Amino acid sequence: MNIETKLPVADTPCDVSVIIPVMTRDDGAEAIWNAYQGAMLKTGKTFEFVYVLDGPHATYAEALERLGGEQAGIRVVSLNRSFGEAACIQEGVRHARSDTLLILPAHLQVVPESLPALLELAGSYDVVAGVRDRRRDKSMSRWRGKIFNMFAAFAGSKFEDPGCTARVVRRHVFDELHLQSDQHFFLPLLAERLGFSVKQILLEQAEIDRHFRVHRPTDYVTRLMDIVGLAFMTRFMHKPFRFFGTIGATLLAIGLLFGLYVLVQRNFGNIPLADRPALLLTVLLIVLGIQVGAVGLMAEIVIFTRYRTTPAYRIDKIVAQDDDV
Amino acid sequence: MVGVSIVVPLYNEEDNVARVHTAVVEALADEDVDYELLFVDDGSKDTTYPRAREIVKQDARVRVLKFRRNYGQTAAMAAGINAARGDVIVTMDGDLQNDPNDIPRLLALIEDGYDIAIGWRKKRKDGGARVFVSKIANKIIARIMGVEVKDSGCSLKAYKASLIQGIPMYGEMHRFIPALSQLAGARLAQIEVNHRARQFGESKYGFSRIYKVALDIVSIRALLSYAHSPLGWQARPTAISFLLGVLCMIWAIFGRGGSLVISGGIAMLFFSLSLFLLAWALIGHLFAVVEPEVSRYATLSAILSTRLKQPVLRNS
Repeated sequence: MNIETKLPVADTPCDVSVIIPVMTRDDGAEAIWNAYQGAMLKTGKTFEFVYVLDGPHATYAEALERLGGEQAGIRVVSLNRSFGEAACIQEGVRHARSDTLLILPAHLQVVPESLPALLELAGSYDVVAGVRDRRRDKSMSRWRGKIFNMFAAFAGSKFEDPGCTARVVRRHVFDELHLQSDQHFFLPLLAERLGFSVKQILLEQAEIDRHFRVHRPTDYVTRLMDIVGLAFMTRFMHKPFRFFGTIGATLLAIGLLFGLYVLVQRNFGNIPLADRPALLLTVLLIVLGIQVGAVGLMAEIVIFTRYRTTPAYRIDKIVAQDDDV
Repeated sequence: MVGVSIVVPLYNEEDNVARVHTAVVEALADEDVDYELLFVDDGSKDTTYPRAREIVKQDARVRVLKFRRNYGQTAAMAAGINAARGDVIVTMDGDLQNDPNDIPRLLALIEDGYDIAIGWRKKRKDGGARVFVSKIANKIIARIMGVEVKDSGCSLKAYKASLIQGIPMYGEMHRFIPALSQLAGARLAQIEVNHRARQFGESKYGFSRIYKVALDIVSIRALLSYAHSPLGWQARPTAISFLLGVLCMIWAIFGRGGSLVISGGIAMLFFSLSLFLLAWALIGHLFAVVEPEVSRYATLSAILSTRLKQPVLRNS
């Protein structure tokens, strides 16, 4: 958040802020409210609900108003157009009053009864991420989830089920973590990279979540791009030439081998060089290899010139005798 | 004011913390230097940190820098070097494979006016394969960088703080600091140091490094020439590619026989490459303008290179 706007300071602090970003997919305002509120009441903690509506959700806002609005502990933040889930979460965090943030999807992914278990761990970890127990899921969804897991693992994520967005996050995590685009899926991984403690917990999957949903093809493309971006960031951020250089060197090597082959054919097979489209391909590969390599070097220069703003490490503390040990 | 900072990265070295401390204290007992010992705990999972903290309580010269999690040796070195308060910085491994008794000799070299003193493990006490891999890596570094550093993997080094604290350290940079700084004109001395076999703990190095080192060298060379001249560093490849394009064009127009499409196409490819490189060079220049730090590197290396007239390499 670059623009710091003062928000009404909490006069009634509570134990838990439940943040619910409302995207295109929701299981009905009443149903969600009843399920989550019922579960929260059982924990015996004081709580508030922060709904962040991603773009105009007129009927949803009305439903929340019917449920009691501000009196019932529901606060609604409406974004005037769609900014995506990560932006909604950040906005919700800004409006939340407590230090323990329970971030839940607007559709039931896990059974509400499992929320106390999630909250219980929040005291000892910075981030507690829910993982759906998918044993009773539709096999198609299960497989798709597995493939998503696999790609995420390639990107360096050791956390399962990035698609499950039921999480408890301590507020101080968001002082350093700034989510972009669809990065909220990888919140546990990103928090872990910043040095926060992250715990996964297996939760029972909600009944309603156990059916196969059809996503748009563009969703898959975005997800894939996110993973590629994440992989680049986690693995090569401070050594981009390792990534680009490998691609460039491979292209260059193929090009040179091809060139050698053409030359050999010309000298021993008497095939004139000038008539060979293969020569064009050779030069193309070499040029491409050099270009990819140059991109990598540019990336190195960016890191080299900006390294102070993106340190590779986070210092927890420095202990010396002058300070109290 | 502290004269010397000794930076020791630790990763799961619970058995070695106290030993390193005693060894350093003993080694420097006879020296007339004011020093601090800076432990960098690289997110150890064992009791390294509590043990190090215990030492801080007993010895005011010790400080501990704790990482939130494990970030690797380069990061630990970089953090330690940046947090160091001494005018001279000594780095060494936390596994006691380096002998702290060598530190006074390194310090003496710095006193003599060298900017960097590097340890060189003549008799290495590691597995044969590891020594072999490391030797090849050193040969490649020496050949390409044009700097004869006998043992770039040895952590035991002493630097003038003013020199090293300005060098960006990330990725695998710490291995190249001697080479980097000698190219920039720093005066460098190498001395033979003891190397002992590990007594405790596990070795944390892998074997497959040569390929990575080769890639790193390319990027470091490029960065170096970029720091020297932010606009002109790609001038040579750009010019070569443009000339090749012109040659192919001439060949396409005046050449007898052969397909015009192919020779002309190749000429186009070379032209596009030179255009592309030119564009990147301009963007690189943009970064240099936006980030004043870069011009600082350029001036730094220019000032330092005036010393290049008397290249010194002392081998003992």
